[in-house]
Amino acid sequence: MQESMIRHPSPLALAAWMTAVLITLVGCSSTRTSPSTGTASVASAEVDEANDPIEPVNRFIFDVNLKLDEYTLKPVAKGYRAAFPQPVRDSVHSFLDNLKSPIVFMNDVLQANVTGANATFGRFLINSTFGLGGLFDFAGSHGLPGHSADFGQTLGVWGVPEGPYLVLPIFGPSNPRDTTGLVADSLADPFSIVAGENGLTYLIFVRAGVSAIDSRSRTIELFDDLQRNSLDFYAAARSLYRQRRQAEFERRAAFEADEPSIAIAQAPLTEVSSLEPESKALDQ
Amino acid sequence: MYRRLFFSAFFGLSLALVGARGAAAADDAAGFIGQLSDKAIQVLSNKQLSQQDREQQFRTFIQTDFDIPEITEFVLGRYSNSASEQEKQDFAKLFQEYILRTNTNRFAQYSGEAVKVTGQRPSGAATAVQSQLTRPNGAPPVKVEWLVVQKASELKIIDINIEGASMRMGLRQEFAAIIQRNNGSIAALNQMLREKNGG
Repeated sequence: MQESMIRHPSPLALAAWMTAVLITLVGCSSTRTSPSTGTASVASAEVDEANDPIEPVNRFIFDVNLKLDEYTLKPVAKGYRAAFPQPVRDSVHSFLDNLKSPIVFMNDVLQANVTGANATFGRFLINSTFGLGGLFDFAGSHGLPGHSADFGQTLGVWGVPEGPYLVLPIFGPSNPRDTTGLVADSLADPFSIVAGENGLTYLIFVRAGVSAIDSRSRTIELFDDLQRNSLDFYAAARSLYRQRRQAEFERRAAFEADEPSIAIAQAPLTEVSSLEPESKALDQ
Repeated sequence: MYRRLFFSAFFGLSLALVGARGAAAADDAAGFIGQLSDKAIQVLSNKQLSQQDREQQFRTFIQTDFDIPEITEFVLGRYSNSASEQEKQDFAKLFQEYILRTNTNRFAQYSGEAVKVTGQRPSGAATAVQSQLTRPNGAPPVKVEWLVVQKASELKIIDINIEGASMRMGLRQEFAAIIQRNNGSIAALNQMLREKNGG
């Protein structure tokens, strides 16, 4: 649900709106912390852990998003899955992934992630050519898997704290840092810029829509499982979002340490092709 | 003199043995997960078992291969201190039933997935076994890490981490949110668990 989608209603207005949101949130969180220190109880420590000062508002938006999802995105995603066979959906996913490459590459560079930038650049070249314009993840099936990188992550690498938890309308779970990243990525995306300059703005919306359907269709089971089994879906989703983002961040911090430390003989998994970048040691 | 030598040799040898045992156990963590997944898949693919038998088998697996008391302690977190003995006992019972139920449901939705153990690394006092859950329909594999500890002579799972999200941490934070919203009452959490288990 929170997969980055591209919006383009006047960049300036968005930036202004974002700034307003950030100021409000930072204001909220600082006024919130002072009174809670008075009651140094079990509960206040747990509040700090959840870092969710505007929880009632977040819960409200979360519920609205859930209803919206239930009546729009989820049925569409289910229909999409029923209507198209796996190979077609895989191609759609690969194509969208390939379109994201420039943004991933930019963020790899901004994060000084040499290995990642090499991989992203290589994947883009290979998949755009051998992968027939990105329809096939040729690089991925030959030992050069993709990874994600976004500006929220980049800000984290630069030391910007995530800030309080935030549920965005439509986009879902986020925080000020990731929201800023979402906006920055959409503004910097070459695809959107090129489409916008050539009077093809509608393509931006088509892509956002298809991306939303694609990512939702891939999380139907996970989402249902969480919803069915949780006692407090909001809190469960909040924990999941936080943990996933943190894990992505740690994975990036140890990009080359991604492989298991003790490899166990497993033919299909140890298959590493010559496409694997050799400069692993270069990246910190 | 000889005696001292003997003692130090004995001491050294026993240390070496303890060390070897520890290493063997840690080495086994990956094998343990591999065996467990084989066992589970056998039960799932055995067409002669009734649904009830199958569920019973899974309950047994979960009870023997997961360290439920340890997980219970973890998910209650700091509220363990403020809860009454009765509340804690109730919680332990209800929580066990809750994980048995949710995980049996998950097993029931099995559709040909397989666990491929890819490696292991030490993680504090535990061993994290890395694996990939491969799915039959060509969907991308899911990265699953199993946190295994040694209890007496047995290995037990204390956490499952799916693509970076720890299940026990998720439950702990979810339960903390519920307890907080009910003014620190564990009884309220117990009531919610009771309803979930009943439904």
